[in-house]
Amino acid sequence: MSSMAMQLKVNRIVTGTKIPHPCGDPNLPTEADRDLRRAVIQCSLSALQREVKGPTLFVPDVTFTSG
Amino acid sequence: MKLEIATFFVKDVRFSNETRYGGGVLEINKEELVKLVLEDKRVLSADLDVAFPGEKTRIVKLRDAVEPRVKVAGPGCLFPGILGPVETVGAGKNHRLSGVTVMLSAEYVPTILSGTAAQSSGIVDMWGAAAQLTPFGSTINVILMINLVDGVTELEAHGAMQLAELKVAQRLATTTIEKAPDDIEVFELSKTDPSLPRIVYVAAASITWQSPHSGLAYYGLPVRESLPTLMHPNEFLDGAITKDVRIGNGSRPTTWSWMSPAVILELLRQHGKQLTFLGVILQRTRFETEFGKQVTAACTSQMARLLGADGIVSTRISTSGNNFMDMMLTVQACERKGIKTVFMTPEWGGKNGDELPLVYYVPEATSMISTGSFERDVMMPKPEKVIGVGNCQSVQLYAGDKLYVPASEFVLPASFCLLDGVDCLGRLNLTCEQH
Repeated sequence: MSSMAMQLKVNRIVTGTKIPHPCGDPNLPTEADRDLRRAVIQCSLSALQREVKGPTLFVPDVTFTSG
Repeated sequence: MKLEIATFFVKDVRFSNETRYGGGVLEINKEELVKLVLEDKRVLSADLDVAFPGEKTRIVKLRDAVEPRVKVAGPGCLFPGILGPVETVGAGKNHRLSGVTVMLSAEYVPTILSGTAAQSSGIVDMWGAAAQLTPFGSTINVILMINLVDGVTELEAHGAMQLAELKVAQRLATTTIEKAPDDIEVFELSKTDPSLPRIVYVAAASITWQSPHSGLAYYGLPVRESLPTLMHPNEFLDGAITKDVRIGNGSRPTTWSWMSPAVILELLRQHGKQLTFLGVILQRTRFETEFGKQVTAACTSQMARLLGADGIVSTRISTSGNNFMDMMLTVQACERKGIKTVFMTPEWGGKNGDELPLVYYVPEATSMISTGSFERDVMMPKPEKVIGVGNCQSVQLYAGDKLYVPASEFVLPASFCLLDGVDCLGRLNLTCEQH
């Protein structure tokens, strides 16, 4: 839902997994779910350290497999 | 595919010792119908009452409403997949009782106690302001009140309550068999003048993916991970689309609304006159990712283009902001393929109409029709009579909500507390003033 966040003029937007579970994926094995969560949170923490001018999208370095 | 609908007007409903129809009067043998409902061992007790427009009656613990209709000729039955085997419907002849509904006021012991998958109920007032916000303030309503036995699962509860409701409605409609109707209307997508604009109706259906029933069923099958489905408009008139009757919340259209869909009826009546009606795309919405929303938008718009649509009329069900985004992306995808799209939707806007009316917007959405805000307070004055199953001294409309005392005066925070209180399918009974 990053385009909705863009429209709301949110400064820093991180792409998450799904509306019901933005920071993980219960369909993945536990290990892979933990790696995914770590990647989304790390992306968020690095986004906080970046200067931005207006809405900026940050995409974690992972592949989202859930539709 | 030609569907004839024969209408029998009902001006009065009475309880008597025989179930029959004549001269605009529907007589109901209460014992016979209670016995019919109790054939299902999942139903513990049943009773009936009737409410008339204008009287100071409040009906509570409502789950659904349905119009009495029965198939008298042609393939299949009303509510295929539920009242009979799955067979493609939309042809033949139906009888309907007009001006009367069967309403379901039901109780069971729920196992889901919180969240959006939990059961809910709606209210209907037969007089005053609230009566004008739902279709059922102006119909005579036969209220079927049932209690289920303990130990039914949520999905069984839906099935038992729905079956009871539909069986009673169909039984009432059978009283018209071999009688002369007051009116006959024929619905058919016949060949038309090729110069007429070609129109598709996109009926978007918000799905509760985490619920035992997804919220909407096609031929009795709950729709889940589905891409758009092409339907003949007559199938709706035969009850091919039904709902989860555990959910009485007014943001979900009743079975009554799905079998008398305002936009479909108008497009069918204008077919061959002002336009050519190509068909209905039933679009599953409320995907959990933006990716899913983009896919359903692409698929719907491509289906409409393949059908040769010049224009689309679209509606959406539920007050979900999530599913609103699917629809906006669909409008965008259709407009980008050169198909003019009108989007009819209820809006937010807050108590006074000065808050954001829409949660998401695309520049291509240049033609929209508001079917009214669902966020306004609804005044509920003191009634003279309360109808509902079991103890009605206090009612809770949805899990976690406060209790209301039906016999007293109170204020409801939104029109979705009323059964069919949100205009999702474009019946357009509300108006507004510029100020």
